[in-house]
Amino acid sequence: MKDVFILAIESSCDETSIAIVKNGNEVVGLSTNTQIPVHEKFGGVVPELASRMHTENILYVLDDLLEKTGFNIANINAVAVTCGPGLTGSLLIGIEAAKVISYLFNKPLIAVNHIIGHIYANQLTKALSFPTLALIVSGGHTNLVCMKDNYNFEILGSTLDDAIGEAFDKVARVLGLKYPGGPNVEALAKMGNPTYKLPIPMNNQSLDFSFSGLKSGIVNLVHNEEQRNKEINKADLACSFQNIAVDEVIRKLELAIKKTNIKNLIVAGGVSANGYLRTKIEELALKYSVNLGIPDLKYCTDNAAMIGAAAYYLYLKQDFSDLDLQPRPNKSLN
Amino acid sequence: MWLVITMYTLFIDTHFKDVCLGLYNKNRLIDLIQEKDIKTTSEITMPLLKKLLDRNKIKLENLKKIVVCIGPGSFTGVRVGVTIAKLIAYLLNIPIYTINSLELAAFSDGYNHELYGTLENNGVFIAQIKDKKIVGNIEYYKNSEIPKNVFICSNDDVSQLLTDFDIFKEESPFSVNPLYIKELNINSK
Repeated sequence: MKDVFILAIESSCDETSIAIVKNGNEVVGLSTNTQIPVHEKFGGVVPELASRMHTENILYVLDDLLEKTGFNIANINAVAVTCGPGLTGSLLIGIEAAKVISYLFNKPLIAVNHIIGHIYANQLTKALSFPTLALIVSGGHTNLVCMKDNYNFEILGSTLDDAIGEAFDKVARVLGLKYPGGPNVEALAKMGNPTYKLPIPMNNQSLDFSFSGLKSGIVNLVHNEEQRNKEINKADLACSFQNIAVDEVIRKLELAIKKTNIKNLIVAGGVSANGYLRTKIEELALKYSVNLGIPDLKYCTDNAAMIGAAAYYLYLKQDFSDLDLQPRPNKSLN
Repeated sequence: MWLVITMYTLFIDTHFKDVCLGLYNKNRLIDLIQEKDIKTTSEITMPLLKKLLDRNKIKLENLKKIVVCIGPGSFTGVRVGVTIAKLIAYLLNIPIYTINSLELAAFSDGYNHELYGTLENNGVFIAQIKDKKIVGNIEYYKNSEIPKNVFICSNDDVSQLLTDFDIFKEESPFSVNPLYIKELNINSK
């Protein structure tokens, strides 16, 4: 079969990213502009600001990609874009740009689910084998999914309240750390010990997650210590939190492996960049002889290469979108 | 046989709830699509653009210029038109010209007023126009505070738009961005 080149655009949150991906697994080029320094001072992503910055940056990112790859955009086979979930105003810019490219060069337009993009980031590192368990851990999602084939998702468990990444961000704010919270909590945790007693999330046999109790536990603890004029050891608290949150994910993952007896596992989403989580998952995979796929760090956070990887299977199925494509901010996995 | 060279210009204006797409051959308007009171600018603009070019049997490589209204108006509305326009200009490597919504209103009104206003969801952007240009700043007023004597234009006549090219500003597609006027009100932590 002839090679398939997909130009992919991702603008669902605070990264403007464009990539060219060959056959769903080889990155020809990737250019990303991150707005993290801009949103940092506000303690989180400001949606209107994010949308303004995508509008300003998108041509620079596209130009940088075409410049450094030397790729003639007329030679792509399709253009793919994240349609959701994400921030409406941010998604919109990528979608309009993708429509223009699709129309000008008469190429099919492919709408990609951002979460499925995170799952297929694995394809850029190691080919998926089915059936596989997929653990999705990000700022907006915490899911355990069973995939029997490409684009076949059976949700085994989800978070009942906060996503794990959300809990990291909240704890970061309580500890006075900068946005994005996850990497900063992890860095601090490395310097501490798990000395604090915190609420352990629901200890049951379901595959659902809950992090709100743990989060509130930390908020209360910090508040109480402040009232007693006792100093918080931030590194110890960060370490205590991270251990409990990650151990909970590992416990559910172990339960899922035992329940399903599936021997393939992939990890997806921004929190999969967490070093402690990666180590724990590797230990678990070793214990159960599970074939583990975990994306390269550069494909764990939001990027367009993963969108190009996920779009490949939609291209093969000819699952194309029209020029009236709109953002779907709350799009679910199915 | 004579070779007929056509010089098509595309005009895009999505700065508020209307979508206006004009197609000009040299300076003459040859076709216009105007949709009123649109809720989802992003859903209809590209399909309408395709419709406009298809029904005039125009290939994109025949487009030689692009003109875009950069607002102020609805944030999302302006972003749709501006993003489409700058992508087209960049990808076709053709010049892009901008006009703001107040100078556009004044032009289409024939400069019969002094104070012009363009709509936003909860208010109006107002500017004084003299010698075809804005004097001073564009100011934002809430609906309850609109001063008198402002000519609020909600239906631009763009048929003669290209007859006076001085009203436009040529820009690099990289630097074309919406004119928001309203600053973001964010509390920094």
